[in-house]
Amino acid sequence: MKKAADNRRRWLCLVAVAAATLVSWGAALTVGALALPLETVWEALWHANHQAAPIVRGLRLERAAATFAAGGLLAVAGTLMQVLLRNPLADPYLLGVSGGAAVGALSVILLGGAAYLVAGAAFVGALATVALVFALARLPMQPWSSTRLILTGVIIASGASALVAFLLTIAPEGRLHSMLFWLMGDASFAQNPGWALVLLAAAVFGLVPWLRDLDLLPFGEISAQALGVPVAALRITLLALASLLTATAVTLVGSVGFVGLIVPHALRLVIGANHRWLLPMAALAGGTLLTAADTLARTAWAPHQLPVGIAMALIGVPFFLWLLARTKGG
Amino acid sequence: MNRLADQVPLLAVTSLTLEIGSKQVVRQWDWCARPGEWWVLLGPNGAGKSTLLATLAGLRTPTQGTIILDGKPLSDWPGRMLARRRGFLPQRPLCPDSVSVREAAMIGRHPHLGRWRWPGPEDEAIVQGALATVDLDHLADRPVATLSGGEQQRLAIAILLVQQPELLFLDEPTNHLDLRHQVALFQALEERRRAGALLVTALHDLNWALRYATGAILLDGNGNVTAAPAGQSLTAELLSALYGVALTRCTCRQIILQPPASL
Repeated sequence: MKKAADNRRRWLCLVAVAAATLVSWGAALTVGALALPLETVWEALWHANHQAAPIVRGLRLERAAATFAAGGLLAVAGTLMQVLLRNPLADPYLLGVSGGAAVGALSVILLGGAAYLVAGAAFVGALATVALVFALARLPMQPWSSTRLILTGVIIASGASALVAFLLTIAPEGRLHSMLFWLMGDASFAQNPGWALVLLAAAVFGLVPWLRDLDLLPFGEISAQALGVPVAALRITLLALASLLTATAVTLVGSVGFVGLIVPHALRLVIGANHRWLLPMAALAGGTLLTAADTLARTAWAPHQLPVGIAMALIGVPFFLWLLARTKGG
Repeated sequence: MNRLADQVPLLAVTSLTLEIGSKQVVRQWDWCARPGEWWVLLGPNGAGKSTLLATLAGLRTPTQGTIILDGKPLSDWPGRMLARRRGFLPQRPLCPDSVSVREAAMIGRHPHLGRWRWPGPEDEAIVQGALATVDLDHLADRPVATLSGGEQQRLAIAILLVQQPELLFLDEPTNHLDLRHQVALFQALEERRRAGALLVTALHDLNWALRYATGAILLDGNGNVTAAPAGQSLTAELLSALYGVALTRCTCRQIILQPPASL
């Protein structure tokens, strides 16, 4: 029966992604300016006073956790956006989250604020922008329309990017570098990734009872509603949640592109559109991909560090093109 | 069916007014329907048949008035509970491309399955049976994207059968169907009606209405509604006036179509 084959492919894919997760974390902890053997890393992980502990636990573990959380959050948010807006081109930044975060973060960098202020300003900017987009899209008390929401988001995002360009233009030479890095996605300032990981896990587990509802949305609003899906409430709640997840990710690592758009697509090509499989797998695969990309970004051009966004594209573009080419139809 | 259930209305409409923009579809309308009845909804294009159907199904809020299902206003029914009893076939059902026919049909079980549950063997059996009814069982593993228009319509009907509602709303269910599958569709629906279901169907083909309907709702598009048992509503005079076309009812001596007892 075909169904058994489908499930076998899903399990195989899950095992492959889980293995890749382990490898990416192993690489993230061992590779770097100072290459450490796996045993040393293992020792240092469990002993706070180990001589390698500051590097392994302080620097690399924190960074691996931050990129994993951010990648997972972006992939989950992208999965939600694509199904809620019924638009395969939807990505987590569609509603202006990254533009708002960038305006906030770059303003603080320009003023020379500390890293935690940059993160805070990015988070506030992201949420404020989304709130603005939702408010404007509903004005003047229009019935809910995803086209209207997308258009409003796109317009606000272009406004934000003009502001970003303005900030870059007036920025002194010394600050320009970190501003550009923030824009391309940079994990070197990431701090306190623990709560982002908790948010990621809570979102995935909390969503499980609602994931079958998401499977019904592509059948059209009226059919989904007739089958008991609270379409309007579900859509507005999950769009708000996706925006929160995106804001959190952007606060950690800047506006890394690609992962939120490509990971849901790639998984859907391999395992199908069943969201009970898709969403948890997206969290795992997105996190793994960004952790791997960040390790590449730290080491590929050592001693220079590339922004993680560039490494992300280096891995992602060929991989996705290959996947697209070998999938019939699409 | 026991006698009592025959007496109690399953669906009752009181002083319903329905407007689309400034146009009145229905004005101050009272109506009720019982299990085992089959009402057809007739009217010219744009008269508001789909709007009325969606409103009766609880998928659209009426301008005024209340619709009561089984003693409780529709607006008080939680979506999932309502979905266990009421099914709706839209005029243009959508299907995502990437799922298989079997997976698509399974969404009909959604309101019956607990939030943490996966479909079990009994759900699979229901899906299999519905796919056989609409003659899609041999295509069960095909991606929906490869289906023809008529096959997609049959899939949408299968989803409705999988849902197993006792109150069925169908908006032009014969769309895209060839004659053989139209016959099979009406036989399957008639079977549901005999088992005690209440059906409301928007239709354009008067021959099907004459053959199966127990009652008809005529919408003239100006807010006037005539709802009556088939004998009083499906008359040549009323239908001629409704469509603005001279109609004569005749019984053919020649057999044009005689559906076999089973296909």
